Amino acid sequence: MTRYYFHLFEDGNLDLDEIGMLLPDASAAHREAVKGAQSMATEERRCHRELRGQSLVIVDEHGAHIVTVPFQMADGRVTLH
Amino acid sequence: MILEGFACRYGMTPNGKRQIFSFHIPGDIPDMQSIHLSVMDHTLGTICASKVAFIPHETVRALCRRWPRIGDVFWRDTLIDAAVFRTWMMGIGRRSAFARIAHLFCELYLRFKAVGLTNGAGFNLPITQAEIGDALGLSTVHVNRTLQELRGENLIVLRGGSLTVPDWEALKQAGEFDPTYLHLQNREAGAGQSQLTAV
Repeated sequence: MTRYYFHLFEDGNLDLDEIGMLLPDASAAHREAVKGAQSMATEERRCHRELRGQSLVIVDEHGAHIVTVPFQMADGRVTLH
Repeated sequence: MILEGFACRYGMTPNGKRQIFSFHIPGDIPDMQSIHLSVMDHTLGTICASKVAFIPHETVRALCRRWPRIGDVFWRDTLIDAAVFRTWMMGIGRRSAFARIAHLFCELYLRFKAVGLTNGAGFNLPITQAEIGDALGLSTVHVNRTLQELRGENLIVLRGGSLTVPDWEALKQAGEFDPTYLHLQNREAGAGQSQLTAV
C-alpha cells in the first residue's frame, strides 16, 4: 500500500492534502480522484456555485505526480429535459 | 448490545456500494429495530474489534411483557433511532459536506459523552474516511478534503485515532446541530408525567 495525497487546486491556490490515503496502486488513486472530483463538483452545484477550474492533483508519497482530475471532466451533469 | 467497540447499521446496493444508516457505540442495542420483525432488512457490523452481548429476542419480549416500564424504555430507544434516521436524511439531502461531517461529529461527541466515554473534549473515534463517506454519501477524497477544512478552521483536532472538539459552540454552528433529536434530556420515559403528578 502506498500513501497518495489529493491536493486541491482552487482559485489559483494549491491546497495541500496533509492526511492522504493508503491505496494499493496509482490506478486506485486515479479512481478515487475521479469519484472525489464528481462528489465535490456535485457539492458546488448544491451550493449554487459554478465550477471555476478546480482540479484534484494526485501525488504519491515521494511527491511524484500521478494524475490531475479537473472537476469539469468528472462532472456528470444529469438533466431531466 | 455493544459492550466495547464501534458498530454500524448498513445496506448494500446490487453493485456493492454501501450506505451506513447509523453508528453504534457501547451501551447501544442496535438490533431493537428487528425485535418484532421476523426478517431483518439490513445488516449490522462492527467497525473495529468489539465486544458484543447477544440477547435472544424472545427474552427481551418476555421482559417487556413482564415489566412494561422496561418495554417503554426500549420503545423510546427505537423512537430515538428513528429520530436519528430522520436527522441523517435531512443532512444527506440538504446539508453541505462541511455541515454533514460537522453534524456527525457533534452527534457522536454527545452520544459518547452521554455514556461517559469522552475524555475532556475528546473521544476515541475508530472510523475511517471511507466509512464517514459511506455514512454521509460522500466520496472518500471529498471526506478527506472536508476534514482538512474542519481542521483548518480549528473545529476539530484529529490525533492518533481520537477526535477533540476545541470549540463546541463553533462546531455546533458549523454542523447546524440541534441536539433535540437525541432526546438526552429528560431521559426517563414518562418523567414529564411524574413531575405533573408531583405538582
